[in-house]
Amino acid sequence: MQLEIPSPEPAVDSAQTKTDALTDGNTASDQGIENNFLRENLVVSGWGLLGTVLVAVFFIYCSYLPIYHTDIWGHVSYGQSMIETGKLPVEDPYVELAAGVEMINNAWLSQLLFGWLVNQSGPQGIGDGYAVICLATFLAFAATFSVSTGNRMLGFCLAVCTWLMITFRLAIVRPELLGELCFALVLLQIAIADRVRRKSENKNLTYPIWMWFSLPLTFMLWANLHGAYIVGFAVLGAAVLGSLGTAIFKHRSVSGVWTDKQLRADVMLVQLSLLAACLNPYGIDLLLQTALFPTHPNLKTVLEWTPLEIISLEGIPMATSWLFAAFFIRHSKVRFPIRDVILLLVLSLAVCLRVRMIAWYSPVYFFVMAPHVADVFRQVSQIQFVAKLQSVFGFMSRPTFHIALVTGFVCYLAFAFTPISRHAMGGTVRPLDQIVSKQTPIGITNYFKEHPQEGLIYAPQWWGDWINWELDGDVKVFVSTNSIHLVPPEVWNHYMTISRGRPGSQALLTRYRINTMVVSKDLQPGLVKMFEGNKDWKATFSDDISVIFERTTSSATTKVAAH
Amino acid sequence: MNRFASISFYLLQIIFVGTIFGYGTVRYQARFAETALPTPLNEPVQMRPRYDRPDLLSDAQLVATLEKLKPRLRGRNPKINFVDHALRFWGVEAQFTDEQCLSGVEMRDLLLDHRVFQDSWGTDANPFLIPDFRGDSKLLEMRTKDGAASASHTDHSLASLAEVGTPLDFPVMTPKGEIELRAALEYSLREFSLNQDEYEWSTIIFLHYLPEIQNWKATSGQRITWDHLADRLMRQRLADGVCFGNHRLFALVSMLNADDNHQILSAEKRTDVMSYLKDVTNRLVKTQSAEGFWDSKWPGDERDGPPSEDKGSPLGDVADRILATGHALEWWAFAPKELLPPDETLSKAVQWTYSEIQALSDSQVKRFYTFLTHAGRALSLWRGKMPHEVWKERTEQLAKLNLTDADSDQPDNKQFEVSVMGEVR
Repeated sequence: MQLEIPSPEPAVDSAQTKTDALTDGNTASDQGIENNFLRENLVVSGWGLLGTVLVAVFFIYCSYLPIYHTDIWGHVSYGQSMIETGKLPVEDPYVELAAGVEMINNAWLSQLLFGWLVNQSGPQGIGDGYAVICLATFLAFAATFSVSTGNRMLGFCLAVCTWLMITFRLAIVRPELLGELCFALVLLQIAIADRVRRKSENKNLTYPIWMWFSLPLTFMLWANLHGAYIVGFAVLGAAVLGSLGTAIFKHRSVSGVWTDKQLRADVMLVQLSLLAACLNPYGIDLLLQTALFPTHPNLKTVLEWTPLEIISLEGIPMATSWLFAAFFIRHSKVRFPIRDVILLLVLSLAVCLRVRMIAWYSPVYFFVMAPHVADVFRQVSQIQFVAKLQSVFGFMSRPTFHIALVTGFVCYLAFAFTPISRHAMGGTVRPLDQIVSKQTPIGITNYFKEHPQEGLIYAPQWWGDWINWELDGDVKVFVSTNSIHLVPPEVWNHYMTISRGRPGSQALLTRYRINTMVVSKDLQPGLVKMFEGNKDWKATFSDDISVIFERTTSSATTKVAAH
Repeated sequence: MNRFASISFYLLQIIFVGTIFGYGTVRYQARFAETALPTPLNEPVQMRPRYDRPDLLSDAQLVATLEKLKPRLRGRNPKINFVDHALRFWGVEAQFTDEQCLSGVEMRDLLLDHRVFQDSWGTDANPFLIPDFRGDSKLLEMRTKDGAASASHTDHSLASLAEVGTPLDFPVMTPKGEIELRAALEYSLREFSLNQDEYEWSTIIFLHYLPEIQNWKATSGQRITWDHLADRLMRQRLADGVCFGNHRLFALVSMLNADDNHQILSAEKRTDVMSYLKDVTNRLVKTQSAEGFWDSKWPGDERDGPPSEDKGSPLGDVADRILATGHALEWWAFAPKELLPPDETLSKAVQWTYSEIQALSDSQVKRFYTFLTHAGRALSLWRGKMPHEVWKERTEQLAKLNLTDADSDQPDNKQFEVSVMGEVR
């Protein structure tokens, strides 16, 4: 028994009945035929309406979600700079301590998009873009899981679960979000291919023709949008290994494996996608850089690149997911393909090593678990109470033209109530402090506009990109989030020493000639206290989130000559 | 599946994998692998003094100054930072009849021959030369900031050796056998990072051995250009740095000299450096004392405040003044005319330095020796000669007159005073 009850016959469709009444049973005019066609085909069920309402609320929520204050502004700066100069940045244009460090900009296309959005619509453009990307990604996930489970409602629920598991990452607009969209598209194509293969009578079918084009195309796009395309290759690689395992079991001979069609198809699809990923401004260098990136020494101290801890934002959902996996695998009667086993293991291991990989684990987890979840639900549906409950909600499964109209109206309302509608319907842009998150240091940049700074300043790296963007590089920050991997390790260690107020930090401030310290009240309370108690520094600005300390001129330091 | 399709498929695989791995390896080597170190000159370039100004200092005054500052370092446990300073001051060519003095060659041997080092320091002392074999690389570290048997500043000893013209193929005897001096340059290049604490002498090394190299990649992956180095040298507060920041100024002037011959700086950066040094000169003119010296407060007010009140050296005011004044005179001696102060400023500074050195007791000379090597060298440079050249001329003149060092030490030897020292004020 399925949760989604099959559509009733068109003969009992209420919209059809009403159409007949209006035309008084006479022969329909051309317009009438057209209306009937619409009424017969443009139908939505109550569940569909409910899903639309939820998606609309999600879209509105995303549209009003404040733009997070970290690296997005660095991406916007890069994008605007690329639009202005027509060139890819060779080095970080803002952080002078990263001068001479060659950059491979693996998110250049995302940055170009963000830069263009801001050029067109100001900071609100980022909010609009974020909402649209989130919507597209969510729908792609929903479609993927619907195809995997053969059940739209279940697919929708799994997409919601996917989102909830990593909502703390997806709440931040950054190129990773576009990578997530590409990942969803890759999974969708694989899910469709799996389904076509399952349903096809042709046992030799490997992949549908269109997929030989669409999958490489997706990888080409992904490689230019964000560096996580490597995860996509992990999925394809798992498919190859899965096919290899299956071929070994199936043929039990080298020549059989050698000539296995599915294995060959998987290998060729990986190769085509790999070639497609090389279609970027850096060619194969981009792939090499992506593979080497996690080994960068500066990332060891960046929270999202550290190993998994169970009692953490990532650890708890991970542990929960493993418990659920154990339950569903225990009760599912669906075969667990080798590919899925490898995928689950590889991604679990990846999260254990680098917590940020949870962004890719979540979709893979639900992608792998979807058939098992569907099977368990099928079993649960056979319980009498559940079956009764489903029949109570049976009316929700009946698609009608009227519900379609209401659904359309909901879509319109969702559009009309979001800032993006101003492009079509007019309206004013919200003030900046409503568009960006409360942790965005607007007060700091306003202060610097009135008090220009000479030389380097210290600011926490998560504010560096905002300061660079808002002041167009007029104030030189020590490090920004976008340049963590660009500054030499020594500079990053110095940044960490200063940030944590370790012994030697004052000497480093002198070495870098830093006379201005921007400190976060929420995240650096120790540093605030340390500078408040230092007579060589005085607070010259303070607001709810930040404080600026400036060196008092009388205590400027000079190094002793040492012989 | 037919045989042809099967063979084609696997041929395709071989070609694909071969191409991807082959090309990938080539690109990895080109962009990501640790890059080879730049190829240096074997013979370091030498900076010659630009000016000969007898109006600032007489021959006799110069000889008297050098006489006072001879390297009386023979004996047990000569401090390595004294030896490398003395070597830089006097040069390898220097020879003395005074038995207390080490010749230039002896000083170089103390630095570059572990057996000679052991003769002076004994077998218990930590060796000054530390061979560092990493994989195929042979590197040579010179012990630094680790007591009297080590150098006082990062790269100071190698910079001194470079300044006195030591070639990179010079054999160095380490505790683990012979190695070329090139290994020390490679160590310096591998360890160098733009934001390290002391970088002034590293810059001097690079200017002497790599003047023809426009840029190179540091171990951290950062591409180092001379413009970056110039920015680094100009970043800190003026008096922030060893010897009240004067070594940074010396490095900048050395950079301008190298740029004259090899165009290592961009036009914009050269202008920046010139403006920066002009500003420094203007400050020095303003802050010079009536007597002619400077001290730790030489820069005056900067954008981030006045000079610090409490940061003189532990050796006292006289040492600080000799330090600040001697170093300023030293870098000016290599600076283009546009960067020089008025003659009056120079004259007062030179004469104050000369008088102050003459007034020092032997124990003060011993304690301030490293500072004094800069002051003594500066006075020699303003007469257009390196100290060993002056000393050689003086020795030859003594020989012509059948006089010895001992005769020159006699205060009433009129023949010596008239013939060799001229009119001593």
